[in-house]
Amino acid sequence: MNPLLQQFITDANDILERMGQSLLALEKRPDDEAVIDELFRAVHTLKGNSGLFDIPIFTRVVHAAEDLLDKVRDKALAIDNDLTDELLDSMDFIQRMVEMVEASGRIPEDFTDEADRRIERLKALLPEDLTGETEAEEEWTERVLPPENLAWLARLSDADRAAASEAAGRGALTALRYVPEPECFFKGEDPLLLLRNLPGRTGFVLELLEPYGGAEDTDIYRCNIGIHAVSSAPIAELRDYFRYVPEQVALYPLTAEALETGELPVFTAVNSPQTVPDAVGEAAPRPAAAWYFDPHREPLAAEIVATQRRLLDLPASADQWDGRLQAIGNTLAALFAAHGGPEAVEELKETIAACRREESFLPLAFLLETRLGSEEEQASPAEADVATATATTANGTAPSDPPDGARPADDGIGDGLRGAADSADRASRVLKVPQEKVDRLMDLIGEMVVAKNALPYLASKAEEVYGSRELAREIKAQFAVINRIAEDMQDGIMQVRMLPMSSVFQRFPRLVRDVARQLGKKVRLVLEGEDAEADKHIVESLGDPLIHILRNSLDHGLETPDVRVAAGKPEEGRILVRASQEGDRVLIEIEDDGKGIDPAVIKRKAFEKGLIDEARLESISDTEAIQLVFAPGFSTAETVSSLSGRGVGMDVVKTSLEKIGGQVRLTSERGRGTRIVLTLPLSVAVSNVLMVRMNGQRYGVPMDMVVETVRVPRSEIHVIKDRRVAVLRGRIVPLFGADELLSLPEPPIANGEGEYAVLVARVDGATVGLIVDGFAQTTDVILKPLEGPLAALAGFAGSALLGDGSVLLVLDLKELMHAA
Amino acid sequence: MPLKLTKKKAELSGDVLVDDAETLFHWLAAHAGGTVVFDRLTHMHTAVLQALAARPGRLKALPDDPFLADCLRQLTSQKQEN
Repeated sequence: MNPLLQQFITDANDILERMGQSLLALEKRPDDEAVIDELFRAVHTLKGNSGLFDIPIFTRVVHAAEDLLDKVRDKALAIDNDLTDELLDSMDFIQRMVEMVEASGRIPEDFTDEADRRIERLKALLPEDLTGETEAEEEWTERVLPPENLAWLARLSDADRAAASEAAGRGALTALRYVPEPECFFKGEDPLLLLRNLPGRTGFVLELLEPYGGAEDTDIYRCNIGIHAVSSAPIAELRDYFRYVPEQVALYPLTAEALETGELPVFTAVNSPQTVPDAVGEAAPRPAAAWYFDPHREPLAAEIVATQRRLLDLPASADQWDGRLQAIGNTLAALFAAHGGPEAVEELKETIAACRREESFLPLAFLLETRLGSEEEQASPAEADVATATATTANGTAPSDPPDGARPADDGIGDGLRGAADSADRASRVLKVPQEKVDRLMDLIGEMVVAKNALPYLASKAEEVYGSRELAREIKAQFAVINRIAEDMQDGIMQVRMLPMSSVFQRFPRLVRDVARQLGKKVRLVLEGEDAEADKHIVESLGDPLIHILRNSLDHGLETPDVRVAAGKPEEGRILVRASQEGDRVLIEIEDDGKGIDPAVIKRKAFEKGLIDEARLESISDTEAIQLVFAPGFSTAETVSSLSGRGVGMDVVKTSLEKIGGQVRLTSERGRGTRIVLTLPLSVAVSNVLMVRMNGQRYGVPMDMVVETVRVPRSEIHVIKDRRVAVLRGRIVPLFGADELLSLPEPPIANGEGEYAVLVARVDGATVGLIVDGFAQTTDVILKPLEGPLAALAGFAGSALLGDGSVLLVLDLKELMHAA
Repeated sequence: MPLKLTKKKAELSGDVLVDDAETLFHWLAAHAGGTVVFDRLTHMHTAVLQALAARPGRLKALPDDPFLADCLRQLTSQKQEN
């Protein structure tokens, strides 16, 4: 991927993240101008940056959001929940587009429709009296509309007509009206080239918008050409083809009928909002207007009709088309029923049916033009308003341009460059390095650590095999130096991989807000210790479990405001997420002040689901009962909601944390709240393992599982129901022979005094003993998961290379015990 | 050279770019009797087409390229002569 695009993606992600935070901050303090400015700048930069790349849809969506924020900044629009929702939603959409660009370098076509809908929605949020103005401000020219009549078809050459008719027989035809903006040559556009390469072009008509008078001062560099064309390409392809000039092109379906007969519905173009001067437009004789009502006496009705007429002109995507026809039909039906009588309603019905048949708004537009006619030139006050609005759009300038309304078109690019320069500045202080590079460095350092461990072996070999004590000493001295450097390097690379918790936490405010709104709960989220750091891998694996826990708290923990008030609690619930470091572990606490977990309910559920038997149901303590939420297949929600309780439950949280060496503790007090504490290692890269010998092989056991190593005399090992147990420090510990667990051929060997070596480990909260042949030293290893065909082997956490070049298999005691 | 100008003739060949439009337009204005001929014209920029449309009736023949011929016929009301 080209570095500039890479930079754009990185920046876009940063910007979107900042925007998300600003939006949430803004919702709490809607008047904070600093935040509004920050937000606006972020969007503006994003728009500018995107202008450098071939992603016009992206730019347009961001532009729409920018317009909205511009109004917020001008205080013409107040930030409220709906607006925030819409903006956050749009940001998600933009984020998805960024991901698409990252994945494939482009935005797939199916985003276009949603982008258009989104832009419409964003525009709908603009203050009403400003809508027209904004449109004018953002588009140099007005949006080109489909022509009012199809007279241009008559100008097609006979050959083209025939070709078009033939194409119409094979599939739908699309007609298009393309009016390049006058300044388009200066943007490097060549409309003729665009027309030449038009996919599926079957015919076209060119016209001069204003005839050349022959004056010497004719400006040849002002585009003066209008284009009508017919294409057999799918409308989506055409839309994509014209993606750089969407507002200069109107696409509309062309029926075979219209082509064949040439008998086209001809409209009067007198007072329509037709903005394209149509040099060809032969005004057809208008049928005698049959007035359903007098626009002068019924200004409101006239305005409604005028509005519907304009709606017909707006381009509609395929999935909106039917809905729009329906809506317009309904509005007009009601109006006709009131003013025109049954006859008018009947005619309307027929016309709408015709629209459906022809898949075109034209018949209805025709009806409105002819039957309701108009003398809007001398229109009533209400209509005059409409006319003004249209004129505003047509002129392309608003009556009162806001200060930045007349932004030069290349401003975006300028911003992009500025943005790029900014980030270049930043880059000199902070390096952004792809993760693979860091990972590779870490792997190399890992190998280095292992390789240096070969030196002590070499030293002893020098002494024992070659009899040179001197050399052995020197090797050892060198080893000490290399050892120190290697350890420092390891430490350094670990620091590089450290990420602050804030990188996961920042997702939470948005999540909590959305979920709380959805559930109708009031929640305050308190984040603490975001600066605490842990290895990137750990921090990233934390995201999903934490989100799951938060959702559980929101859904099951916190009560609705009225329940809370009834219980004498503040209306607003509180969730605290706190990270802190404790030795070489990082602690994350999630605490809510909700209703807590009722042990009785848990017990009953667990019993019903067969997780515990009757005896256990009687004997289990409340504290133990609560831990049952971590049991696989447990879900307390009465009904499965969209938020939590879709069957995955807390057991998934637990297992995914255990995978990265973490632990979960849960405490809860009924009516007071629930507290979940996660403990995780700071780093996963180096594991300390204890080596044990079995059958002449060495195996590793992760140190954090080891409780102690003891020697147990044969006489103290008892057998209860086929199980060996021993009493250690006053408690019964089940013993497992390593040979049973690993299916080794030889049983463990006792030493000369008849004592067995027992490794006491803590697995799933239970203490177990593992009988082995003997213990070796502990060592630091870089644990690598088993790969390929070996990945399916159960019972091993992974493998590691030892200093002498041999491979150490590291046991996963938990898996082994479960299998036993 | 896509645009070759002599006293009596303007010859357009290959791809005539946007920059040539102005030159051509001024030449057409200055040489009232000059004609325009095409030699293996592959494309002309819209602005060039406009220049020809602004001073119609100066083409000796339409270019071989059917698309360009069609464009010129429509805008300069020039009839195909061959």
